[in-house]
Amino acid sequence: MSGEAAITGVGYTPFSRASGTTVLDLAQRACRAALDDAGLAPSEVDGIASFMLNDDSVPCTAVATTLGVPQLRLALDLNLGGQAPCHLVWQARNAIVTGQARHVLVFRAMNGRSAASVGSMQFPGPGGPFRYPIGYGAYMMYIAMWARRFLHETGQDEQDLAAVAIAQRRHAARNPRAIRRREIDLAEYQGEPFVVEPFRRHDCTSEVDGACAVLVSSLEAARDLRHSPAVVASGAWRAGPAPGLDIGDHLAWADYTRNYTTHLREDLFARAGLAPGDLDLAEIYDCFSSTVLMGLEGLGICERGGSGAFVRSGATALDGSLPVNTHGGLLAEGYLHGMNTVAEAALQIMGRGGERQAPRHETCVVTSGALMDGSALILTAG
Amino acid sequence: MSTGPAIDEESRPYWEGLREERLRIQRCTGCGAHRFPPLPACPRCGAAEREWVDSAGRGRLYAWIRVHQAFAPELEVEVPYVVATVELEEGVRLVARLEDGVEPEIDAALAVRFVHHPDWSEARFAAPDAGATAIGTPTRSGDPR
Repeated sequence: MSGEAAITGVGYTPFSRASGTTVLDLAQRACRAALDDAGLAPSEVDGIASFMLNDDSVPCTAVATTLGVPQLRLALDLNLGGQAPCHLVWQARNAIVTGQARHVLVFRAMNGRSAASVGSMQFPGPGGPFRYPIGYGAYMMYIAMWARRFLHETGQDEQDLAAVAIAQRRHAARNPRAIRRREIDLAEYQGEPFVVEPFRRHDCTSEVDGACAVLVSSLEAARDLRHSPAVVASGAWRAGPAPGLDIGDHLAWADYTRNYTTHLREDLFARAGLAPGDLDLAEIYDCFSSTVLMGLEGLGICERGGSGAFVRSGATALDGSLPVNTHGGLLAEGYLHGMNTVAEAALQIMGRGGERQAPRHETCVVTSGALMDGSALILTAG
Repeated sequence: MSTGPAIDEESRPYWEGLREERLRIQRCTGCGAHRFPPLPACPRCGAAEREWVDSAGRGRLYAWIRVHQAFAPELEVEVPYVVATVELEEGVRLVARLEDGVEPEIDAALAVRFVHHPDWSEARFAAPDAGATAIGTPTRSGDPR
């Protein structure tokens, strides 16, 4: 099939507490790893896309310079967080199918543990002064605020949050890259003190130093590369009404129980010609446990209020009806801002999930983001 | 309490109002819609003309969190504390601390209190019958404007 694009390679650096190197080095290593994975030379790359917050990373041109890319026809540098990975892959795909580029690297690199922590970052913009002076200044707090209302309105509780953390650890135990690999049970979950109520330690991602990249190529070119490609069948980015004055401002957002997934699902599935019931697996952005529940309901995979029971039923396990966050999620693999969530989806579609491979892997939904705005992809085996 | 807010032309009347123990919000003089945070134009009708009006200071609790971990050194003496999203009767939402000892409950009625710090003043919320006068230590270092 021509006129389409696919993820053809994925690359990672190790995830650590202190990389001991620069963000540019992390970025170029992850990008080279993605190229090696696909079997493509850096000289073939003609597009690079990435994102950063408060200048915590390097521009695409820096990576092009380091990789020795001879002609950069597309560079996208977004000032965004976890909303960006699916959005950038979709934009890379759109550039490729309209003939603007052939091979586009999409990466996220950060010394997110040892240097600039997104979790405690203050974001510039006119909304911040209403939050920061009162001690409402960490991203976790915003997600927790939404989680509180979401649990209340949907009739769910902390045990539903716990179910997500527990289920994902089972996957992480099979993922050598995950930084939290030990399985946990409800007693251990509840034994941890609150960080920001309703979140305890295991509801939270762990910030890391590291980088992750995926290579997006035309499907035609993909046929000459090493792996069976993960076709980008659909994508969407969406911000609903009043998405805020800065990345942390949500005061004018009407409904804390529904995030961007509710708003984009119709377009997302329609473009792919699929319905939620057609999915084989789902990789749902999870900086915190609640966003998995909200995503499952927002995408129409679960009925409103039914996501916690869905997870507790075992449906999201590798042998369940819809494996979710097969890498352990950001909760357990580490916080690469959801770039690693996209990479995991591609690996699963390619059948390269190793011990954590989902048995059925023809169609996968991936999401990026937690609150007002975000993006999603549907990847297929083509 | 931590450092005060960064104030700009759009938000100045809000912060000056708190200094005078008034909770002020923007109101569009075109269509009458209240809005918060302040904006240079009305998202409903597009009018740039706006005024600042006193809120009644009453609302209900939409959502809340309790912060147990101090994310900044100056907050270590404050944890645990509750931050609430408060829906005012005028239809806009604020985010504010609850007064110490106020147990958060979704949809509970709340009323504003004013707490004065040396360089800025803060709106907090408590149950409406918890006393009508402002509480908080008078720690003003200068004339409130």
